[in-house]
Amino acid sequence: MVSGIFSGLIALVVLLIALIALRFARIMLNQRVVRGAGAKGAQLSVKSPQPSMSALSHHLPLSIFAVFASVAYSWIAAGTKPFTWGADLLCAIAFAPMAAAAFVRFRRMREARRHDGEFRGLQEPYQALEPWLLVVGLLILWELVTYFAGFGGHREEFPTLSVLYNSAASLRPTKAILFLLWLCLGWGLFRP
Amino acid sequence: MIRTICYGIWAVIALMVVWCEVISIYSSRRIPGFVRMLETLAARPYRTAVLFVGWMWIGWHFFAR
Repeated sequence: MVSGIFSGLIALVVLLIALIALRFARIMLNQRVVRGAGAKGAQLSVKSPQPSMSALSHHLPLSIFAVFASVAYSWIAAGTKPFTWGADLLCAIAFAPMAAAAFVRFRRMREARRHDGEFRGLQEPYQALEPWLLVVGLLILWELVTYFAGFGGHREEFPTLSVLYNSAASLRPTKAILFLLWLCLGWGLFRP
Repeated sequence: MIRTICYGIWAVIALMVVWCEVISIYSSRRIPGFVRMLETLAARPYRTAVLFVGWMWIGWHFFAR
């Protein structure tokens, strides 16, 4: 019963991963964030120009290399065990390019804000985000409930996200996928 | 029994995440998708800094520690 539910959970996560990967791929290929033209309260607007074939062919080798390098790196990182210097090192190395990307992004946003005064970045109406806020709030709440309920040796009965992760990460391919997703999430959030 | 219920609730939360993405697609993105939601969160400089620390913590917690 439990393994059935867990398998279903894994299948759902995989489905979500596929949806997110598709969305990331679409955004990276078809959208670029540009500053909206000069009006007061300028915002980041998302344009969806069709990228020219020359631009695509220019970036394609680098993109393919980045994808293969990320997959290979994730596979190597998945082979390490937590609490070893190897795991620490591979995790720390992954921080470096993301830190550089985040720094560039941070600087650009601050400059844009300085020039445009009322720059507010990409906005979504609060109400539009309500479904996500509800789910994230529920997730945090349930994590806290299981975390505190599991004290006193009841962790097996009250699995937290970390317990779910440990089950999934016991297989190297799954751990590699999760590591790759973590890298993708970082790039998606902090790419300049 | 409690363990099964806990897994069930995790499954429901995972379903809700998928459901949010699905209704985002079917609402023609009037409700933002997961990626758009993240872009919104990372749209300001200091939010980017906070998110970066959070991202680092997740990686460290799950893969190194």
